[in-house]
Amino acid sequence: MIGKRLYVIMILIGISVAHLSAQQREETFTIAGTGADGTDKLVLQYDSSGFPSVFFQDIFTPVCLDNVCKPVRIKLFWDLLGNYIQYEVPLDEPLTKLDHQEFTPADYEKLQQILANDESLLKQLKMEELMDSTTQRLSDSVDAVTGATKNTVKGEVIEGALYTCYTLWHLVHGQVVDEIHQVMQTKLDEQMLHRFLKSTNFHYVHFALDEVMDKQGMVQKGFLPDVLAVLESNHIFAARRVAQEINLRYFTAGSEQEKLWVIFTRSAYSQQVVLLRRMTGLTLDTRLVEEIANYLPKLNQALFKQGVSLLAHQENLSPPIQEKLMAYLKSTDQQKAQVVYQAMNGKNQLTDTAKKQLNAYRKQQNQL
Amino acid sequence: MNKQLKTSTFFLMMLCCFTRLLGQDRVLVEAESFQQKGGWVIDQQSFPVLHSSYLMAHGMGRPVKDAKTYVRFPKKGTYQVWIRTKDWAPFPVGPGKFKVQVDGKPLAPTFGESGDSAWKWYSGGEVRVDKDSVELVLQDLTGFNGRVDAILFDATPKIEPPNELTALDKLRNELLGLRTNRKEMGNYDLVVVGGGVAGTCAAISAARLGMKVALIQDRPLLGGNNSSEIRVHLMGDLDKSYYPKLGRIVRELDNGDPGNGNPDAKEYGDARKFAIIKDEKNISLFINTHVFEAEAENNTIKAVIGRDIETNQEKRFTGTYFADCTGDGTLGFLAGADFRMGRESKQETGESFAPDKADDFTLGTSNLWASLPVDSATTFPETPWALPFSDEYHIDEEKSDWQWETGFGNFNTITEAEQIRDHNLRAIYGNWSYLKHHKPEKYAKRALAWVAYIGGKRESRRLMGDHILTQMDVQEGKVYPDATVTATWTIDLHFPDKKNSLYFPDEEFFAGTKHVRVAPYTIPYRCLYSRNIHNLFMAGRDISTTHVAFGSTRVMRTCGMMGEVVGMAAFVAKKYQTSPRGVYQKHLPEFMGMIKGEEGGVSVQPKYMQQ
Repeated sequence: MIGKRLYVIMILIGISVAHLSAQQREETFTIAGTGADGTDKLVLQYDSSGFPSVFFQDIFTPVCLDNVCKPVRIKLFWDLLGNYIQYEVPLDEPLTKLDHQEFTPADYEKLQQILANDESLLKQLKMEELMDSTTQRLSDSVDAVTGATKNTVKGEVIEGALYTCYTLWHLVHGQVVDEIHQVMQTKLDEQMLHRFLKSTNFHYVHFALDEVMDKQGMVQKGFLPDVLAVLESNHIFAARRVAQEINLRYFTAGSEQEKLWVIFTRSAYSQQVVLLRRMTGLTLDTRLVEEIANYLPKLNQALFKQGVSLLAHQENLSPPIQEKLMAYLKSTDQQKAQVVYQAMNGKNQLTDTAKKQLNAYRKQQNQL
Repeated sequence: MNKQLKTSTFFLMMLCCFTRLLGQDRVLVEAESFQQKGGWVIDQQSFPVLHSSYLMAHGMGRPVKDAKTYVRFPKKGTYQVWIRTKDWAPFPVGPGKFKVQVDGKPLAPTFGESGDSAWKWYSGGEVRVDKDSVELVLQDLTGFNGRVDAILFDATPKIEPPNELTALDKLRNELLGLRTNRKEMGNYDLVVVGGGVAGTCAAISAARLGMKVALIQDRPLLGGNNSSEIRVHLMGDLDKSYYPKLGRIVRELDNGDPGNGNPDAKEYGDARKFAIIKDEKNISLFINTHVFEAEAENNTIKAVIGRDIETNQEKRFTGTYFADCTGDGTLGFLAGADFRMGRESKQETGESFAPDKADDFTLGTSNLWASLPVDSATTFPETPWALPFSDEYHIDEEKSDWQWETGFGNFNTITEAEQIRDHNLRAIYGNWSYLKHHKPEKYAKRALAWVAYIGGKRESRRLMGDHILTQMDVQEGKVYPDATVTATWTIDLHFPDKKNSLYFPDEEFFAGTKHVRVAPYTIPYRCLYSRNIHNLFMAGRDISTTHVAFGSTRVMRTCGMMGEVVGMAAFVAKKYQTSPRGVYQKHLPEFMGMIKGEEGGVSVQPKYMQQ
C-alpha cells in the first residue's frame, strides 16, 4: 500500500533515506499505549544487503480544532538511533492551514526545518498555551499563543498551522524515539558498529565511538582501523574527538607514529593543533623526529612553537637535529629564535656546540 | 573646467601629505589617511591597544577597490619600504592578502599571509624614488579583511622600525607631528564623550537647557550600537516610566524597530540622528574623533584629547563637566575613575545570580550579518582559516540575530576587541561558506548583503558611582529619593550556548540567555556620576551597577534616558556651580522637579514641538 502512493518526498531539502521499494524487507513493531492512527506501528526497513536501514511510521491522524477535524496523512522517518530524518505526504492529500489553505512549497520546507530542530520552542510549549484566550479553544494561529513570547514562537512555526506543527513535532520527538532505542538494543552487533564507524551519518559515528572506545581511549579489539579511519574522516568533530581521546599506547611503534604524522600533514589546522599537542606525550622514533624537524619551516608561528616543544620533549635528540634547531637562533625571525631558545635552553644532553649557540644567543639578547 | 578642478584637487591632496614629511630620511604614511579609500574601511576599535586606527579590506569575500594616496618625498633616493600589518587569521595562514604598489610597481611580497597574528613591520624591499611625489596603492586580493596600519619609507638601510608601543608612539609623533599640530577646540559647559544613544541624548538634553556642549564620537555615525554600522534595535520600554517626560529625546531618535541585523541600513535612522543634532545650535559635534587622553588635576578632568581616526589631527577639548558615554568607560579609565570589569562574587554583592567567585566574565560582542536573495546562484570561497563546520554542527540561518556573540570571558572586550571581531568573522564566514557549499538548495541563490566590521559591544568597564545598582534594587523595585530612569528590560545575562560550547569550547560564538522578568524599576541618579572623579557623569552601559544589574540596565532606550537625566543634572550643576554629587546633596528637589517635568521655565522639548 505504501509503495503505491505518490508522496511529496522532501528531497528538496537535501535529505535522503534509502530508496523505498516493495521488495525491501520490513519488520513491524507495536508500540503499547498509543492510538490506532498509525502511531502504534513502527516499521524497521532493511536495505538490499539485509541490514537495518531506517525506521518509519505511516500516520493517518485527525488534527481537530474547534470541533472541525482535518485528516493528516504523513509518513515520518527516523534513522536507527531515533534521529528524525524527513517526512512524506501523499500528493493527493496535501497538508492544510487555517481555512483549508494548502501548504505552499515554502511551508513544506519550513515544516521540515521545524521537525528537524530537536531543540524547538515547541518542546517547551504546553498544549494550554495554544488556547485562544477569547474562545478557550485550541488555535492554529500564533496570535492565540499565551505564555511563551509570541514573536519568538512565530519564527518557529507555520502561521495558520500552529497546532499541526505542534502535533507533528511531538510525534517526531515523542515516545517513538524510546521505542526505536529499545528495538535497536536487540539489533546492535559488532557488524553494525563497524558500519556505523564508516557511516556518513555523524550520529552513528559518535554512537559507535561511545561503544568501542572507553574513557582511557582504549579501543575494543578489531575496531582500531575503523577508529583511525574516523581520525582522517570528514566528520571533523568526531575526528577531533578521536584525536583528543585515543590512548597513545597505539602509537608507540615507529610505523604507527609515521601513520599518525601522515594524518597530521593532511589534517585541517584545528586538528593539527590537537594532534601536535597529543604527540608531546610520545617518545618519537628517530626517523619521525627528523621528519618533523624538516617540516618546521612549513608551520605557522603557533604550530612552530608546538612543533619545537614536541622535539624538545624528546630524549636523546641527535646532534644533527640539535643543529637544525639551533640554526633558528640566527634567524631574522626573532619570534622563532626566541621559541627555540626557550624550548631548548637548559635541556639535558645538549651538544657543546648547541650549548655555545644558546649562550651566544642569550648574550646577544642581553646586549639589546 | 574639469581639468582645473582635477588640478586643484591634486594640489590639495599634495598639501595633505605635507604633514607626513617631517622626518628627513623617513616618511610615514598612516593607512587610514589615504586620500582615496577605494573599498577599504577605517577601523579604530583597537585604538586603546594599537594607539592608531588602521585600514581594512572588508569585502565579504570579494576583493575591494584599491586605496590610493600620493606621498611627497623630501629627497630623492633609495628607500626601504616597511608595511605594518598582520595575518589576522593564522590558521595556519589567513586570507587577508594584499599587495602594495609604489609608483605603479608592486612590491615583491604579498602581505597579510605570514601566519603570525602580531601587528608588526614587514619589509617590502627597496624602492628608488626619483620624483617629488609618488603614488601609493593598496591592492586587496581577497576581500577577506586584510589590514594595514602604516607604511614607512626609510632611507636608512635594513633597520626594522620599532614594534614596541612606546617607541612606535614616539616614531608616529615625530614623523606626523601629532602633538605639535594639536588643535584647541574650545571650552564647553559639558563635554560628552561617546555619540551612541546615551551620549547623543545627553548632549541634546543639556543643549536644550542652554548648555554649550561638545559631542565627541569615534565613528562617522551617531547611534553606536543602533547605528547602521552595528544595527542593534532599541529595547527597553518608554511607556512605563515613573516620569513620563523622560524618554522624549529617545523617542525622537527612534527610527522604528527593524529588528537586529536588518540588511537595510536606512532602517536604523542615521540621517534622523544627524538631523536632530544639526538643529541644536548649542551642540558642536565632532565625529571620527577617538578620545585617548584625559588631563585631570585633583580628581577633576580639565580636558580631553582626541585624535581624528582618519587624518590623525589631535584635538583638545576643555570643559566644566564631562560625560562618559563611551560604553567602555574610556574617559573614566583615562581619568582614573574607579571601575569594575567582570562579575562580582555572591559574597560581595549578596546577589543570587552572582557567581560564587568573582571572575573576568563579561557579556560578549556581536558582529551581526545578513544575506539576501539574488537572481542567480553565487559562489563563496572555501574558508580553511575560519571556524570549521559540518553537517554535525552549523547554524542554518539566513541572517543573524543577537545570539551571534563572542566574549564570555574568553576574550577581554577592550584589549582584545580586534580578536573578538575577528573570531566573529571566522564564525560568520566559516558558517556561510559551509551553507553555500553544502546546502545549495537553500543558499545557492543567496549572498551576504552585509557583515558588520564594527563590533556591537555589550559589556566592558562599569564606572563606580555613589550608588551601585544591584539585583536586589532591580527585583525589589526600591524607589530611592533620587530615582530617575525607569528600566523595564529583563535581567538578561548571556552565556555561551550549550551546544556551541560543546563544539567550540573556549571559542564560543553563539549565546544563550534566560530572561528574568522584572517589574518596572528606577535607577538612582547616584549611579550616573563617578564617585571619585568630581566632574564626571556617566550614561549608557558603563554606569554604576553590578554585573547582574547591568544585565537589565544595558538596553538602549534605557541608556538614552540616562543621557537625558545627565543633561539635566549637568544643567543644575552648572546653575549652582556645583559637582554632580552636589546636585544630589544640595539640589535634589529642584533636580527631581525637572525629572518629573514639574520645573517651570526650562523646556526640554525639541524645537518643532516648542513652535
